[in-house]
Amino acid sequence: MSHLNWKHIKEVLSDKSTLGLNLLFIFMIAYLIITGGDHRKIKLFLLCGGLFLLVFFVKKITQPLLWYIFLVILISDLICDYFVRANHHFFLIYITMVIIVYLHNSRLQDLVTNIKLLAAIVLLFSGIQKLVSPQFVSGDFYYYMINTGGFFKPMLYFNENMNDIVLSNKAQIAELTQSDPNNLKTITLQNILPNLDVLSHVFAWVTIIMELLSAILILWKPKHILTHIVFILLIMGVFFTRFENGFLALLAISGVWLSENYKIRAIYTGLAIVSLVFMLTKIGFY
Amino acid sequence: MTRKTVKLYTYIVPIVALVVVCIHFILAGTTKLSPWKGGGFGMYAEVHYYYSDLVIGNLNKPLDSIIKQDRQVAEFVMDVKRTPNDLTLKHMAELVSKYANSDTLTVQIWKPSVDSKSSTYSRELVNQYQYIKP
Repeated sequence: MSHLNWKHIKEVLSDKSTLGLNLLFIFMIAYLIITGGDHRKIKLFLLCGGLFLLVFFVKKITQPLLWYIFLVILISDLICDYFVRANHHFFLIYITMVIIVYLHNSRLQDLVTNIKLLAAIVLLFSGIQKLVSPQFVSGDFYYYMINTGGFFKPMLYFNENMNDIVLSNKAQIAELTQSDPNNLKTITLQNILPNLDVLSHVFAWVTIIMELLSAILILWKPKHILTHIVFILLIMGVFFTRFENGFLALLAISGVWLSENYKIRAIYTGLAIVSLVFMLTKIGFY
Repeated sequence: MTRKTVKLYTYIVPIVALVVVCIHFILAGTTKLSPWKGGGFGMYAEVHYYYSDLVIGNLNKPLDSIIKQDRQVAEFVMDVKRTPNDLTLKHMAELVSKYANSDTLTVQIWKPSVDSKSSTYSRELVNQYQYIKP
């Protein structure tokens, strides 16, 4: 094993095409293993078919064929469960398709433009969907999620009082769920923080602004340092709110391809690795 | 291939992504599909449909025990919560009609309703369907 030093790390970070591809490959293997239980027989059949093709028909194991196998497995999930799959499953399919195109034409600029457009689409529509949701823009969604322990979970481990309030709110909701909703009963939630209604409202608008701003900046100035600061802040913001690590890993890997600066790329790589670890250990969501 | 065709082919994937988003919005409008699903990137725009309540009146046993014993009903619960339109509610009514006390069934979907100003939590009716046995 060669000696690991800063020069070597810098070389790895400088080759964004290989770095992004390697990170996505690790993510793909992790994702396929974690979701492997769903429609296991179909996936095993596809995997065996793919291996058969590799062994008997392909002289050299080329990468595009491997990515085609990944794509077919991901699409098989979509065919079986189109309305069950999470949104980042769609995002992963799009990135895989873009990688296949890149491995055929070797045009890095096209790959970067495609990733730029995909990341912008994801963030733009994520922002728009929140903007058209009355429950979100009013702050009521965040208020509910924070008071029931859905968001900022680690905070509850360090503050017993907050944890007790969350448990009490959850118990009240569980009791209400047992009753007939036609009785139109209402319960009062306790706040884990003072002025949580105002904080939730502000936090909702900050989220929308950050998502829409990231989308616009990625489209308009994809190489600018400010774009990457906003995008990294968004990824970190989501990370501290909820461990949506599968989605975050994909955003961070997209950042690796979009950035031109190896130091910024190092931050994206770090975020992708941390997200992958959280995903694999199941501390976070996949 | 012309230069325009080559360009279109190069960016086909983002175009597909936009088409899928459009399909999501059409389905959300026509079938009440949740923003969480269908590739429209509406995750965390509202409380997850998992927390919605399915209520069916006039059954000869509790819905929970029907869900435990009837695989078809159990598998359809999440579908009806995800897309609470007349068609899915009707299908749910058909599935549970054999457990009905009378010829009429009312199927309802309620979602959590939160008001941060008054710190209240209640439930709001999303859709209901009156089913009459044929």
